[in-house]
Amino acid sequence: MKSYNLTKRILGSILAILLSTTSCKKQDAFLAAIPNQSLKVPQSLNDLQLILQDDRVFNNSDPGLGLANSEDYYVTDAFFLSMNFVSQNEYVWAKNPYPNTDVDGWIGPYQAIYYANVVLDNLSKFDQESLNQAGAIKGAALFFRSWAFFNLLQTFSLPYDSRSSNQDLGILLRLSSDLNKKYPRSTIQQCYDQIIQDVSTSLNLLPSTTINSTLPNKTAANAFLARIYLSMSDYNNAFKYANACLTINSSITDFNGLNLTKRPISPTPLTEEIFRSDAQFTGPIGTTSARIVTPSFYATYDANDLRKKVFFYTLSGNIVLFGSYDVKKNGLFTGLATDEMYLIRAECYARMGNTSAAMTDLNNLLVKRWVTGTFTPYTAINANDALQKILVERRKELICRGLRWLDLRRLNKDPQFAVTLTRTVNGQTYTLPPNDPRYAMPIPDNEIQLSGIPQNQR
Amino acid sequence: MYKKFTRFFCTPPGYIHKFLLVMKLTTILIIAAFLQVSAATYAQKVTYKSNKVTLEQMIKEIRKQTGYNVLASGNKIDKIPAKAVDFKDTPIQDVLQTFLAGQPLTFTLDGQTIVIKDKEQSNKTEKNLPPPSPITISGRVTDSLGTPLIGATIANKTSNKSTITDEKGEFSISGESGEKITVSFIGYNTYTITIANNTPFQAIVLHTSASKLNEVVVSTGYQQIAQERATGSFVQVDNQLLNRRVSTDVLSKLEGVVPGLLFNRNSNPANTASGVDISIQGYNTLFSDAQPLIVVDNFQYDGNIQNINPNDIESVTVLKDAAAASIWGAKSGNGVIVITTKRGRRNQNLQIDATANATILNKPNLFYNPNFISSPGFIAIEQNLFSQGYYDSALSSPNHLPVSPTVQILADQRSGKISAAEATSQINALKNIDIRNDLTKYFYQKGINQQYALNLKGGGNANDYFFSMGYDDGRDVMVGNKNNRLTLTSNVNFYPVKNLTVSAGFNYIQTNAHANSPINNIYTGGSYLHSIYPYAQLVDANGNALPIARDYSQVWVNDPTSQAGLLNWQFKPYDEIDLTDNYNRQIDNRLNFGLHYNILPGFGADVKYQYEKLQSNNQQYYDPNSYYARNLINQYTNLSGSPKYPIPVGGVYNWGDSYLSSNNIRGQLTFAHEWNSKHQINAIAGAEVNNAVTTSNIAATAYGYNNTNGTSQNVDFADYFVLNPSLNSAVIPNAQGFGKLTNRYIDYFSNASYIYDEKYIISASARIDRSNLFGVNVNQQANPLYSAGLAWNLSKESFYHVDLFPYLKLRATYGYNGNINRQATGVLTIQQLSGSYFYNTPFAVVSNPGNPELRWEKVRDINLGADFGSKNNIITGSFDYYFKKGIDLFAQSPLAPSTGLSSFFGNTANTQGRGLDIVLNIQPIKTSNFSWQTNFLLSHATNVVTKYNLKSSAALVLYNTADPSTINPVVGRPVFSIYSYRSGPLTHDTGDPQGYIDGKLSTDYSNIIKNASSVDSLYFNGSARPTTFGSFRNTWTYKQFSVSANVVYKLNYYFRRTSINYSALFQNWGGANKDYYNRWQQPGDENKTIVPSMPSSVTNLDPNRDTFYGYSQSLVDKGDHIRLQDITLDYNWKTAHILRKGFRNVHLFLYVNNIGILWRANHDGLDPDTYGSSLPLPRTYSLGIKTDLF
Repeated sequence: MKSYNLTKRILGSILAILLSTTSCKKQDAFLAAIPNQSLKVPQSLNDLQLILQDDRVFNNSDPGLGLANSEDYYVTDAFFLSMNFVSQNEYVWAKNPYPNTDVDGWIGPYQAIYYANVVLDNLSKFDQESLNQAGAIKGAALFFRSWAFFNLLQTFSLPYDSRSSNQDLGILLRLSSDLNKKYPRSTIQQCYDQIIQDVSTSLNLLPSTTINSTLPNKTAANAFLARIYLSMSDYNNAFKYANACLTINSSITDFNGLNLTKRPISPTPLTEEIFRSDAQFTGPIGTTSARIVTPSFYATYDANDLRKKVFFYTLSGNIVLFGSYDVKKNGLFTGLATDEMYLIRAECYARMGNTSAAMTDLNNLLVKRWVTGTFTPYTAINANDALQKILVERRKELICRGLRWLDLRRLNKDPQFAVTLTRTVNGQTYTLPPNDPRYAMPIPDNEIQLSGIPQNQR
Repeated sequence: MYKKFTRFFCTPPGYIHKFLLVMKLTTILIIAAFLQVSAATYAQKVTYKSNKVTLEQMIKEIRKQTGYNVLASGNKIDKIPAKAVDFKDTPIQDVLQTFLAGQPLTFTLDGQTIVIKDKEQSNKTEKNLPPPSPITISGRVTDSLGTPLIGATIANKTSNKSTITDEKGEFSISGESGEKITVSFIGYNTYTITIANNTPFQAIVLHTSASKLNEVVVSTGYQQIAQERATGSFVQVDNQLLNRRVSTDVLSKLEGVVPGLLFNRNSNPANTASGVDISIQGYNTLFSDAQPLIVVDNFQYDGNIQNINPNDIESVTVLKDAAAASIWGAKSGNGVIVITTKRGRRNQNLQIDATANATILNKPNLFYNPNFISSPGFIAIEQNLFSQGYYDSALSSPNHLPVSPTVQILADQRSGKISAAEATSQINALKNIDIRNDLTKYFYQKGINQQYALNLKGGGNANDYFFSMGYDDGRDVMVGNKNNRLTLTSNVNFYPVKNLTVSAGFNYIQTNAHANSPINNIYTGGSYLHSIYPYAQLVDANGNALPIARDYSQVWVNDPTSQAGLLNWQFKPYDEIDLTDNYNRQIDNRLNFGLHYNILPGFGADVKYQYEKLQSNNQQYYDPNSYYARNLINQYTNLSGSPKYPIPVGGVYNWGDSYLSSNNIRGQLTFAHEWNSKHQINAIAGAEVNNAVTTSNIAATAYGYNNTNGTSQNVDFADYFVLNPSLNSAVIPNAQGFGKLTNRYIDYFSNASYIYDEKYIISASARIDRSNLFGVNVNQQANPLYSAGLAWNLSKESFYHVDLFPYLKLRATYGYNGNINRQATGVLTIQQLSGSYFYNTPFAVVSNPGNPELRWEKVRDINLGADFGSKNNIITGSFDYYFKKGIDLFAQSPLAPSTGLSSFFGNTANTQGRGLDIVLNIQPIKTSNFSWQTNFLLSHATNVVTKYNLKSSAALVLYNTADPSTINPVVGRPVFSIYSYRSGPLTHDTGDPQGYIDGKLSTDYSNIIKNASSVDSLYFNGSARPTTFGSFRNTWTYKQFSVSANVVYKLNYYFRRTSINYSALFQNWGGANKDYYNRWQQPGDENKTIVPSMPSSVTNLDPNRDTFYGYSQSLVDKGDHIRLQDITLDYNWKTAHILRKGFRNVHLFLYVNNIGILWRANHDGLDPDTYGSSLPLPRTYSLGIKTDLF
């Protein structure tokens, strides 16, 4: 009898052990323990917010390739020789400037895309915590991802052309953080559609203001859409969003208030800054002293134009491009600011035939750039004259912002504005004619090998 | 100081208290066990039903049900026909009578022992004692372990009289001089004595006969399997073989005795937790842990295996193939070593075994080190460099960089401080000094390891017990290093009611280790970060410590004006031995508890639980007078105005703790059934849960520490201070770190075998591992690691008539083992950081991308084997041929950059291995007085990388050695490979080494290196690890003496030897080598040497030349060697006098280990079986005694 009870008890305990281990939920909870304390699984919206605050990834990784390829600057022969093989190739628009090399301009934005996808993929776990915060996080992640997509598109794909955008190859639209998922090259139209859709969504989700300009807000989304549509030569929409942006924030920093003898020119971001983003240093653009502008271009700035002092300085007899909007020393600002919005709206007005409104926008901007009281407002005889003047000022204002590359791609389609770029090294001249296939940089070789995607024809 | 030291070391705080507590506990347990013994004698009854059962099977059943020992003499019981029986609570007597009725046999019941014997004899021995004979001889019969054999038959062949041994295994029999007496016992070889006048008391040891050899029971950690009925590849190392080698740890006892087990003494011992790198049947992973799983009794052992006292171990089973190991699933990929501790037996009298031994370790031979240039040569180089102004910047350095005494003398001579004659005489004095003499004399000593162990075991009717206590004390060969270990173990089983077993075990290990030798700290510093000049004198003629040039110019250090306000800044290595204390203490407690219940006949249930708590405490104490403390205080001292001391004058004390606690619980069902005498099924199934948590705290450093009263002073850890004399800024060092690792597993396992007619065996096992380490998808899938096996006892077939090999069994197994990598996680993890780039805000980075597809590394294993035994077991052995395939191995793999990551650590690589293990045991001579046994082990193991997605560069693969931390896999090559630059002879005119560019000899080193940038352009020498290895062991026994010698060999591999590196030699004294003396010096030398000429001036120094030469073909040697590993001499002392005093056995033994290399392929006298530039293991001598009492 006694042993029978014992039997029952032992059998019972064995069963209990086996049952407790077979309860799936309990098992999963037991096995959910983090193996290493220093690592953490994202556990809240705040954790996702912290990922978005990695500004090295999101705000300091714009490809500098377009900037390096543009006509804003040149380097001396001596400096050219001191550059490495890849930088030299890039400088002379070689067919494949970076054979079998890691290309930061490709890696950086895709890292930002991965981080954004991590946030988006994890968001549904916590979106019940706070709908507002979840929305803002989703908006920011979509914005960041689109920002990276857009910059890749401008660097590694041909310029937008509505006639061929359904065939022209864009980039890989990675929309998931799953590393095992394969993506093809989408068409340029698909890329733009995705970007516009995501930024439009983010426009509704983003807050009106953020603590720092490294995090996007509604103004930034509007400004970004204006830039996107402009790159598509869709002037109606570009106008719409530039206007919306300037309705919220129309402030332009008066350069008269800056301490022009100091570098950086302002210890804090300029008030006209909307969204902070910097380009990676690529080739010669990483060396401030190497970026020389031609005296003829420098001469287009009036003596009373303060930008002469803000954007340039003289070094060993050369006029050197300093860059602008500097918070961290030597950064190359490629983000969004109201000056660009004024110029977009002005251009759109001009293209829509509204000459006076166009010139008003241009003059409102320039008056803050000249020594107080010296600026005489520009006038135009017709819309096309206005357009011509606006595009000249656009180049002067947005120098070294990475936007010249976008403008070259866009404006080369118009014979009126098409230009052939030339660079001379050791007496040899290299050219980049309008609409050249080299306006799309080659996709890095390792990407081609590992993804099996088609390469750009150069 | 000294007072503290002894108190602290010999009796750590709380030590006595803890010890007494443990003793008390042990005493209580022992008393409990004895009470059980006396309480247990009641009639034993048997319940059993079978259609056909032999007496032998019945005896086994009786033993199982009652715990009675049944002894049967002779082989007559075999002839008793099988019977159909149906016993219900039948007394043993009646059961036996059922079988013995009508047979010429009878039985007696004596205590707990039943003896079955011939009717006639029993009549004679019990009733009619024979008339006294002229000579009566008496003796005692034991097995090789000294356990008395009760009921052994002692027969006088001439007179046909016979008797049997009593409960103590003793007998006496009479006969006439010259008559032969045989001693026989089932399962043992028969022993013969010839009666002579004055024949002394005979201590007879019977050895198991070969048929018994096949009855080896191996343990998988989940179940015990008779090896004969297993399909898998098991190797058992029994107690006798374990005891052959004297060692404080169990792993080294396996060296040279387990086929397929390789000790990688040429890899970094620091890479493994145990400090011993071993591999079983090759290397089947790349970057994951490659060490075999260690199982102690039933559970994975989480502590350091070196801590387990080998005297507590009964046997070790090595599980090699899938059928043997895959029950351990994802942990079994590197093989499994199952350690079985000693236990008592039911109905066994108390046995006490005591062991004591001492091992003496020789001082290492420092003169072996080839990386050395003696003082005269070294000074000549320095003089040459000095004349070229090489040391001028150091001599005038504002940081007061150290220079060697020679350079200082030369500088003093140049500045006119001393005359040329004085300088010459001082330098000549230095030429006579060799640092190796002082090191050998004052920093090394003969090491002594003492080992004491006491084991108690026995059992009553309803219990059994094993208790042990061990104490080891080690004095290292390095003065200042010592360690000790205390172990207490108990394993107790109770059988409170029928069919129930309750077991409880307790294991306590405490180790204390001091590593205070300053040997690794003797270097000059400055540019010479790891080296010392060869003429450093460390101790003067009177035994007083002398300073060496260290970290700073000695002129500056010894200048009272510049040192005002600072503590003495001299470094005297010999004094440091007593001034620092690096102390590590580990306490490892294991408690286990188990229940076994036989629910129905053949059907049982088990619950086992183990708790382990391991604490490790590290302390570093630097006395106020230690160089470490003085140097730190001086560096931070602020000398402007009156000196200020940010680090207070006093001692420095660091400490850190880590704790591991693990809980294991297992539920298991076992089933064993046999029917129709033809079919047998054995099966287990169960589940197991593990939770192991390791926490570590590296606590803050205490400064101004006063060791006497334990006080310290607060310091400012936040601010930066300007350092002397460099003027750099730094914060006060304060290593803080916290960590917590959690490993959790839930495992399901099952294993089943079916045996038909004892001829055909089929086995299968499967296991599912789930863990917190791993990917979501894998955890949701049932993805078992499984195995299947077949075995065929060919020799049991009726058609088998090979008389040469009466025993032959064939085996074939297939299956998967797994391996774990803790670096990878299935889920995405982030790490929070502060200070973002633009606005200095907090942010988080993705530290591990997570991989839902993550899975265990798998090792697919095919094993084909045969076990055989010749007639009379003169030759026995086994043969195993295996194919292994490492699948889904963890490795870095390039990712398309569009993923956002450049590479990825995942299941991306494969390897393939194959090999064979051959064991031959030969007994050429076997007589009663003399026997000779030879054991020959031969293993061959190769592997090759079949998939690895990263392309290794030539520069990387050149660094490859036999060490896992250096591997850079290349597809198509062994994991561990040696590559080199192709090289030609030295040039005739300048003695420059020559390499090849486009097939032509060249001395353009930078282009040679550039041209050989791909792996294919390098010369592939071969494997860096032995591919053929084994041992050859001979044992000779003459009466009570036995001598055994083991020769081990490692063949078919390569190593890169060191040679002179002029750039390193000049810059940091690093590339010194005795090859310097063989260097090319004049044209023609290129015919007799490969050592390049010394650059004529520092301007000619070309580091590429040294790099090329250092990795050239000419420096790669074959590693093959044969070593006389050890010799043991054993004397089994069994005179009647001693044995009657209660000793069962007294063994005296002498053991010599690391004897020397018998043959080596390299011509430089190098021992290839050492890691880096470490010295070969010193020879050791052990002397010991092992006694079995009662």
